[in-house]
Amino acid sequence: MNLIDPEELPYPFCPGCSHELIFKSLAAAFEKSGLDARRVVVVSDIGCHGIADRMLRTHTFHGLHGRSLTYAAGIKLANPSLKVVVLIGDGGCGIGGAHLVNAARRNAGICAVVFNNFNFGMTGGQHSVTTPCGGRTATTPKGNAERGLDLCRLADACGANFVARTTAFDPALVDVLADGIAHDGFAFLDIWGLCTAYYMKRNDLRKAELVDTAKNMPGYGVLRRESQPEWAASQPKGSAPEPRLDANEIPVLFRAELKEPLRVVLAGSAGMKVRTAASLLASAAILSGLRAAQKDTFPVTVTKGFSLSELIVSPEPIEDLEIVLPDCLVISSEDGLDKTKALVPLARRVVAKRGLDVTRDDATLVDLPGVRPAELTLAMTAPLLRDAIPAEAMRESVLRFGHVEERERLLAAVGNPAAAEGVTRRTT
Amino acid sequence: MDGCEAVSLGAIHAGCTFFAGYPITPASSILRRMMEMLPAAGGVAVQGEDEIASIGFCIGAAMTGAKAMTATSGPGMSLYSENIGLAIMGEVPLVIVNVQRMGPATGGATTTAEGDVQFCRWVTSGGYPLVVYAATNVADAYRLTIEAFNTAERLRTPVILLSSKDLAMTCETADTAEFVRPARVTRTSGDGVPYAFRESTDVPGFLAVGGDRLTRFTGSIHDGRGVITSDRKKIDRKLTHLRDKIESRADELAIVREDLQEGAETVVIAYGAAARAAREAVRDARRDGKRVSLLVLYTLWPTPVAAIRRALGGAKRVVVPELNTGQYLCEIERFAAGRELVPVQRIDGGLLTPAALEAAL
Ligand SMILES: Cc1ncc(C[n+]2csc(CCOP(=O)(O)OP(=O)(O)O)c2C)c(N)n1
Ligand code: SF4
Ligand SMILES: [Mg+2]
Repeated sequence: MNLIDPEELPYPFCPGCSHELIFKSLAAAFEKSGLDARRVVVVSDIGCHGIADRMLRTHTFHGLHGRSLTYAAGIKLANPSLKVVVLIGDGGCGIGGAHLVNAARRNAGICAVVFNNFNFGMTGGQHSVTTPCGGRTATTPKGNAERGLDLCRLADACGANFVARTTAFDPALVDVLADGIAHDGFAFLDIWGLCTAYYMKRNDLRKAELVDTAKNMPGYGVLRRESQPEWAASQPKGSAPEPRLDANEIPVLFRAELKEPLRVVLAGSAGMKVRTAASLLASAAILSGLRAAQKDTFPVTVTKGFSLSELIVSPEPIEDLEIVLPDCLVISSEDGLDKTKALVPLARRVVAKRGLDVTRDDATLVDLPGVRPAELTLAMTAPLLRDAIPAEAMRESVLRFGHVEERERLLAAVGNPAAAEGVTRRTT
Repeated sequence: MDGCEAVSLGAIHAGCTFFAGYPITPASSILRRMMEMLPAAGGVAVQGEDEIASIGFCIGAAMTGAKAMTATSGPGMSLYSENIGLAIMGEVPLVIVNVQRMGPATGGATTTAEGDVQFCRWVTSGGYPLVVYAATNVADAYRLTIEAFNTAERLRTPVILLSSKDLAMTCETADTAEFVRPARVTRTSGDGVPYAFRESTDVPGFLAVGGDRLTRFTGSIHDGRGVITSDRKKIDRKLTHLRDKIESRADELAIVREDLQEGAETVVIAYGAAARAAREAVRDARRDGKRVSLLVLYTLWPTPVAAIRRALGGAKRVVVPELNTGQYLCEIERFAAGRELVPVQRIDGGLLTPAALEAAL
């Protein structure tokens, strides 16, 4: 295939710009590759190399500066049969460094050709990540104080399967490009060149020195050639039927007598299965024809500290999710009490584990010596909802949704007679 | 069902084949669910190295013909901004779910707020429009996800679906039998050049990257062939088209629920989580014998002007509850001349309650 549309010639680059040489070699490499242009996508980055995008006779994709590897990855993931080639500058490798690292790490099936001219040509010759130490640019007039990045070592360290370093002047460039393009996994080609308008002018850099420096680098030519599974091809692919909307449908098997919404706050600690308790009671409500809404709050450190569930059950659709005045506040631990102190005076009813310093005279304090912390919140809350949700619904909820190994204990918790008595007795 | 599950199911039912995202509360569980459900159903779902990569993957995939979605919250939305501009310029069908949390910056990861209303409208440089929907509950989240895909396909545009922390992280009873499931729409293929349109409101037929006809995609200002241009006429034509394609369809894109009462002097105009309180407050006010109209907006942008005008009708007072400092109030103000505007706002991380609205009714 002929990569370059002859009608678009001449190339738009400054006289002597190495980008032109690289494009000519790319055209020859594509010719050599024998690819069908309709199965090739060239994704160009933003930079001088990208302005030639209009000349290409493949599918072309010209996105944002530094992000070419991301579009290429998306294209390849969505259609792994395509050959995806990225043209990117040293500038793009800097701003899009994370994408380079990750494309290499994942071995994305992309051939990335770097037009490395040690500066930002397009924006006026500012320094880039590859500008060598001492290199003079528009933004390092006294010489670059930073070190230049060896892109090949980076790509190699990240796992790129094919890594090559060469220059725009290399007689073997066509072959190296063709090899890179033919490679299945992530191919990374760092091609050094001259920006005649800026970098070359400000620094004593000529073709001979550029080639020499490249050849004296810790690696020159093809540095790595391996073939590991390519990212897109290793994506899992199933053919399961579309998930159903009603897959988790809960049938209405019981009848509840609730007339008004009931707002309950369950406050305990991580590990006490507060959320499970709220969820089992919510399901029991739904089994009884009620609506339920459950909102859980917990610290980022999920296995430590408080665990709070706000549960609303109602005969009507629930619009108001903010519990300002809870009908019941159930506090099963110190953490839970700390978190709900402000609610204690507001709640209609407070039920707390005996021993907690609940500052309300009419709080019900319960003591359930035989019940483990993991079932305590459920045991304390279930009796409070007995008027709203039938006991059989709670049992059914445990049987359907409770963890198999915990069922017995959960059943005991929802039907705990001591809890029922303790809660109803309203001890002070 | 929670809001994230509703969005994920909606996406799959809309024909989504590609998802990429980066974890962020309160949107993470969309990513988790999509990674669980989508590959199993034959699609692709991946976690990107960041939000920029995630939306970049989606844009690339969408241009091969995939129906793509990504999901995030405020900080990630900020990182999407440049690529949303690319999707507008390149006319990419793409669904973006923004599960709002309190901002600015890291703000409150699990704290309620609906403060991205204007941000989403103006998210791109250049100021060109896109479509923004807002859900109030799981049923809407499901339906609007499908609408978002359909609109993205029909108009070749990014569409943003706004959700919020409370919707995403509250597990609610869902009457799935009553969920609205719009029929699937798939983009129209083109047979000419990639960005061909006759009238400025027309949508160019889609040519897939990697398809049998060579195509060009670009984020630079371009002509019908997808070639960068400096021709003033062509620039004007393209940018006018980007505006007209969306703005001329404001009525067609308007998804609202009008619950208007004859002779009501007060009208409540609400969206998002605040609309839940509004529905209940209006119901209670009517029980007390008051006449109150309610307009719930599911389409925020382009502004559903006709519906807003109808709702304003003969009303003297317009109540606008919002979980921000009045981001839609200023939009309604444009049409509400001569009426008393009553903002009811909350920005402390709590939800608006029906009680907070009652006083205003
Ligand atoms: C987000 C963003 N920041 C900055 C720019 C401006 N910009 C355009 S090209 C470029 C650098 C190009 O340098 P390089 O990638 O090395 O390409 P070259 O021009 O040298 O071929 C920059 C910074 C941009 N387009 N987008
Ligand atoms: S500015 Fe530099 S990189 Fe750009 S075309 Fe001119 S010589 Fe080439
Ligand atoms: Mg450069």
